[in-house]
Amino acid sequence: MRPIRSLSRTTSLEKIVLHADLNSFFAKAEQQANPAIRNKPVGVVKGKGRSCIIAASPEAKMRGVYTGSRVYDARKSCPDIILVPADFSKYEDISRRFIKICATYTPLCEVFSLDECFLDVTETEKFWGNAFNIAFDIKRRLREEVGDYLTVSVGVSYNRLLAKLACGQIKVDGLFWITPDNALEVLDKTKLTGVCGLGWGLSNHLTKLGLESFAQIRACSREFLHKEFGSFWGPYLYDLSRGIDRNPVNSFRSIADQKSVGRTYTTHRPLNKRREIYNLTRNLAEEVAFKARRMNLAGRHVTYWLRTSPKKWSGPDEEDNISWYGHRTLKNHIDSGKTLFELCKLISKEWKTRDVIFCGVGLGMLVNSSNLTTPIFKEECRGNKLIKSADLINDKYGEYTLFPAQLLGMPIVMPEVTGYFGDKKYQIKRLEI
Amino acid sequence: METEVDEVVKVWAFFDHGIFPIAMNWQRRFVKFEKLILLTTKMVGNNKIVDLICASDSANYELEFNADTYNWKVKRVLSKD
Repeated sequence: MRPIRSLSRTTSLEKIVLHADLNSFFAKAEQQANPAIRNKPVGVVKGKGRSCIIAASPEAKMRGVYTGSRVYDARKSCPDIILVPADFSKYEDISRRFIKICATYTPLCEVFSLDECFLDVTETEKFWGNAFNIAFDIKRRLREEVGDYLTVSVGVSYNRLLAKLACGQIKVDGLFWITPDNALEVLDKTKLTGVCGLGWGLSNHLTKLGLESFAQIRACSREFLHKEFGSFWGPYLYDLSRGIDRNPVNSFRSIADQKSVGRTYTTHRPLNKRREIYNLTRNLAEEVAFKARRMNLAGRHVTYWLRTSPKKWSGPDEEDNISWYGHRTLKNHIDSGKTLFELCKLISKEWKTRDVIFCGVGLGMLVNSSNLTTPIFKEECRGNKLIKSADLINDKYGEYTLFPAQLLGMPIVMPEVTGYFGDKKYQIKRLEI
Repeated sequence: METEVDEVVKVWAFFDHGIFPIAMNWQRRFVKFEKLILLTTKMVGNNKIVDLICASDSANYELEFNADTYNWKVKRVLSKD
């Protein structure tokens, strides 16, 4: 076998970026934990009785089951599918160890999501010989240190966009290298939505203009794209079609402060009673406020949204609205779950909601809470002390050890990690990487 | 097939740069572990809980080690096929 020489010597790449992605993460983690379900079609659902597949094993994917498939459809296309309830604490720990492995190769390691990392190894690849050695080392260490059934695909290229694209070329345990020589060839074979950063909205707009491939976009002038897509998306598409991405890899150790925190939840069944909807809202508001306090933040922009079951929706009539959204910007910053809940109640006072299947609470315009003024009123001081004491107890004995009496008698929605790491700063702090 | 158990057990383990269970005494049987399949940790407040999946010759066992109380529990028994 011919030895692979250093990338920097074989090509004139400015940067060397690796993108490491755990294959079918949740499903493979379950297969790792239970060898009896290995090499079998497995679908991970959020809990018993849930109707959406949140992750599918490669065997299930081969039989037409995908992330987001409904259980009913999955059973139709793959009758012997094994459904496993998700265990987020397991995924969190595996993710933490995976990120720790990746972070040993460069200080410029960006956590893109729960199972994806970007690594800028331009300055550090020489310590391992070349970027491929790093890729093979990540694969080996994942097998040895975390689990022998887990696999990771690695893409190597000269920017983030192409490294991610390279990673998707060979799905299971793959390694792919995109150089300036083959970048356009790979890009032209890729579907428009197959590239990170080009969603359905842009794709539809492009298709309407008769642009269905990157080669066709490349043929358009900068002026045409600017005119059609505006000052941001025009140049963005111009660069994207040429494989240009100027975004640096940002280390997870220097993430900017959160601008907002939020929590959404899809219910098991439609909620009809206002009390049930409010109890769920209080539950989510407490979590949002707790997250903000954990990061020493307080916000003054409150958002609240509900969605009703689409079956009940008869049209864009005010009475039968499918989703409800409201927000309030306050004069003062808040970090209390109770206040947040009271504001959500105020926002939704006029809403005629029934059959609620989705609820979300958000707190934005966050600032460091240590910069806020100290309350002078006795009642407010007592409230703050109570919150601090409750936080201390919950920190020591676990989340929701102490919770508002309003949540008594209902199954409490616990905090969980999201695949996209929407609340990255909070999660990174929580994972203690 | 899985069987939920949740019983306190006596486990022999090595603590050397990690936890390596060797054997356990469960339901008057001595179960010797051949392999540690997966180890994950979670925090419940300040309390560290270690979940371990261990393989014996007949079945796989999900064990839980509470680093605060040093208690071991068998959480689940998973059949090998």
